[in-house]
Amino acid sequence: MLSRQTLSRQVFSRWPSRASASAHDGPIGSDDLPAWMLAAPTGPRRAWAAAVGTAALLILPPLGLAGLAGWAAAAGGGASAAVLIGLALVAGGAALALAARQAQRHRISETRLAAIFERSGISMWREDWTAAGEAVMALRRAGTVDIESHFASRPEALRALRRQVIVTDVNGFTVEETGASGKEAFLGPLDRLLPDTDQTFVQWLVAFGRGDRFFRSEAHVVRADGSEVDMLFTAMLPRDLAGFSEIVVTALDVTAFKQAQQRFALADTALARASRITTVGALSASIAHEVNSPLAAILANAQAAARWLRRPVPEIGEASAALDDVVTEATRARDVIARTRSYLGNAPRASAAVDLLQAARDANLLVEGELRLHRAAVHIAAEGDIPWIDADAIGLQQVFVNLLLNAAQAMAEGDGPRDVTVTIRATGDAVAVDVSDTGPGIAPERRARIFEPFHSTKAGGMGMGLAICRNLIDAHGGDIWADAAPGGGAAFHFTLPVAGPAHG
Amino acid sequence: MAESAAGDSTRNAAPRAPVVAIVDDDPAIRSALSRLARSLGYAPAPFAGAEPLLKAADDAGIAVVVTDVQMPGLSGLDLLRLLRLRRPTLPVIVMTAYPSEASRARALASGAFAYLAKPFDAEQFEHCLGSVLGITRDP
Repeated sequence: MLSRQTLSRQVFSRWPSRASASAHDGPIGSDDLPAWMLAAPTGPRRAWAAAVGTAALLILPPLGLAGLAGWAAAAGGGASAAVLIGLALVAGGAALALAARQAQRHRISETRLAAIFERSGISMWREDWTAAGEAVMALRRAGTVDIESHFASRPEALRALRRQVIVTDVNGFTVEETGASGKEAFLGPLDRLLPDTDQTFVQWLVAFGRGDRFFRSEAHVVRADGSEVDMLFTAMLPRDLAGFSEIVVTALDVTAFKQAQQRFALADTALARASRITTVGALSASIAHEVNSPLAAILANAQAAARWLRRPVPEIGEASAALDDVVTEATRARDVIARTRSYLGNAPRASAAVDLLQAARDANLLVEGELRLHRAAVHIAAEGDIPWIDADAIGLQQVFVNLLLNAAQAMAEGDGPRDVTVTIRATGDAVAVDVSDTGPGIAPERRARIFEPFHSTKAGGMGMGLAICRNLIDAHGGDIWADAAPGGGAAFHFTLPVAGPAHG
Repeated sequence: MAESAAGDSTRNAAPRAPVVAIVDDDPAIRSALSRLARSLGYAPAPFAGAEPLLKAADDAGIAVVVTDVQMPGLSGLDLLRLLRLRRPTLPVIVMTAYPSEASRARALASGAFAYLAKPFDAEQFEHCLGSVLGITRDP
């Protein structure tokens, strides 16, 4: 049985690739805390100790010489004592000069650092993540390993934590690039800049909890004028808790790049949809022709037979021949349907080991634009290790796409938070997936019917989405059903056997 | 090529029954419509395609043509246009198993007398033939 143990350790970064967006120190277990949580505290006290140490080193040699002079004087060697005092004075002067030069050098390097920060041709942010670091440390110390799952079921706690991340400074380039009135536009809680549809914040916490060395993620942020831009954020992560008070984050505006990417994707889907419609159109035309022809023959023969039999002198021979043809043509129609079903139903499916978490994330990316349009925040989490299942990856991705879109559309009318939570967990010989939303929910009497084809509640909807889901889950030997989410929204559940559909 | 001479098919119909040419590449449709036409008192003349009908059209005494649209070789609409040129007075009824507004409009614009969607019932067929031939029959 394959496990997604290694994959689950990767940070969900959407650009440039989903894989290896961060580096971290080896695997971690439940009692294996990341290095930064165990690091001895540094900060003001340490710096002070270091400064005292340096001063002591500079002061000691002159003091030693002075002491030596005192000893020489006491011993009666006036001349040598004078020499030693002179030496001590010289050494003391040298020490003071050295200390001054070091201080000056320090000032210069501070100025240079400030200049680098201000004048770099990339947006740089100083952010205080102390509250988030402390929260993650507390969770890890309390034994919580899967930070993502923890917050997937606590979206409000996640929002609260996001409000406590403070942007303390941004560099000049950030102001220049965005055309903001000044730095103040950015300073304050990160919450103001990250829209509710953000999916990347929790990944910072995941990276903290895992002890990642650096972090990279693509998020969309809201500008002062309300417009949304896509940013690629990169940061070295702190090596101890004190470091969380100032994480330097670089940000690259990738909006144009994303837009181009989206245009390509859109053209791709539009093309795929057009060709699908054409295919379906051609198929339904051919089915109509294939079925209508025997039906026409059946109708004409049956009515001819009736007429022959109703004559004053019934024409048994004609009627009997007509009825024979009715049987032949009905058989033909039945065969057309059987052939069509076997052609459409038994199309060979690509079956391979599928990582359901990955399938969910891929689906999420596919419909990212539409989810954002509906202001839906998607939380995806796996509880523990999920065995890979033998399945049709595209089919399962389609199931996630349909369920995510349904959830987003169902919540489009409401005023409250729009959270879609996808939870994946192993249940012995199956994998169970829950997709719940915070929409109005589905009335109990409708829950069975929503999976029927052509059952749509949406204007312009075909009513095929959930029917397709049911067919796909059926084909994999699983079950799908709907009930209410704990918060009152709709919850869709499906299970898939780990071994894949039973054959035979 | 006609499967049977028009004259042979008239044995169960009234004397001098109008000859109805039935053009369809599907033998089941040809035989079913021939049987229905015969039960309605017409003399059916089945043809497997547009080309055989065109060969026979001038001397078979055909009163009306009922043709399918989708056929190998010349389509029913091609046949309709050719007949409009050669035999402008010969009425043509177009039938199809894949009806659409576009093909209906095209057929009627090309001069079809009627457009029937398969499957159609005996009453439609009877009404259509009756009105094209100016015959009103008792039910």
